[in-house]
Amino acid sequence: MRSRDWRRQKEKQKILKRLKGLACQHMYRTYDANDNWIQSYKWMDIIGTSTHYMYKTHTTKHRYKNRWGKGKKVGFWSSNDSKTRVFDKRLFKKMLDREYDIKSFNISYGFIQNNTEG
Amino acid sequence: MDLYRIIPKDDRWIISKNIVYIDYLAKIPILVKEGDAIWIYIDRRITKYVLKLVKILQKEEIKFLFRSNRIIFEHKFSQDEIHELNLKQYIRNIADESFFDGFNKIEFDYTRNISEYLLKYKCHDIFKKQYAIQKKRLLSKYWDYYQNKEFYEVSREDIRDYISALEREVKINLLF
Repeated sequence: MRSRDWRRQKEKQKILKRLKGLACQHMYRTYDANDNWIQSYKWMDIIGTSTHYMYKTHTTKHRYKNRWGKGKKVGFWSSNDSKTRVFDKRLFKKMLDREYDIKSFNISYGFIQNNTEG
Repeated sequence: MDLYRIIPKDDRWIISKNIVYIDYLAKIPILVKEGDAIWIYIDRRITKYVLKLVKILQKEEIKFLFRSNRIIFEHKFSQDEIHELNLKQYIRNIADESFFDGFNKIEFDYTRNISEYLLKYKCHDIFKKQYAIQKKRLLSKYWDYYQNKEFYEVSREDIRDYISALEREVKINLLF
């Protein structure tokens, strides 16, 4: 079944794919994790840098929700995915904040029930 | 020295032609055996494994020195360039919190290791030159105009104290 190991392995594959993609496309020089200036670097040299950790947190768009990342709010490609569950939740929180003055970090079902009509 | 005896029995540790690799996303070299000499790559990508290996070698009483992760093919660099890169990484990576705390935890004498390196290759001039450059950078501070506050390049005070006293301690180690 799709256990924790399976998910971890898939995430690793996804991060590797992103790292390899960047090394092929962009600049030819960079600083590695040990602050060495490297010319014509390969994808192994990016491991441990800020870009590597950025790829861990960012997500990719899926049919139903954003996937493969720790912080699921940060979109990898675009944030205009209005049909996703994450985007709906964000809209809902904004609406609560604007209309009923409820801050997003205080959300619970009981709290909303008490503070809203009906 | 048999590498298979020392290294932990794990799938992540791989040995090939007197080089030990760690399988962390890619195969990253961690230890090289050249005759009697043993080199460890002091690399921030694999701090956890470097500390584990240092602890094992310290227990077995095997002498070793650290090396820059840039030097994989030695024939591409001159002798002075190799010492420059190694000593630069020696000074810079101890400013990293994980290395500093890790070496303190396993009670490893880092300054003794640097002095052993200087004694073996007699490169005091290069050390002085590199120390002056790195010290200037690591102990520097800057003003943040948004917060109206002053910040240091290395945030922790104990690490800054260690770096400022490093040259003196190395000299004392060389005397005794």
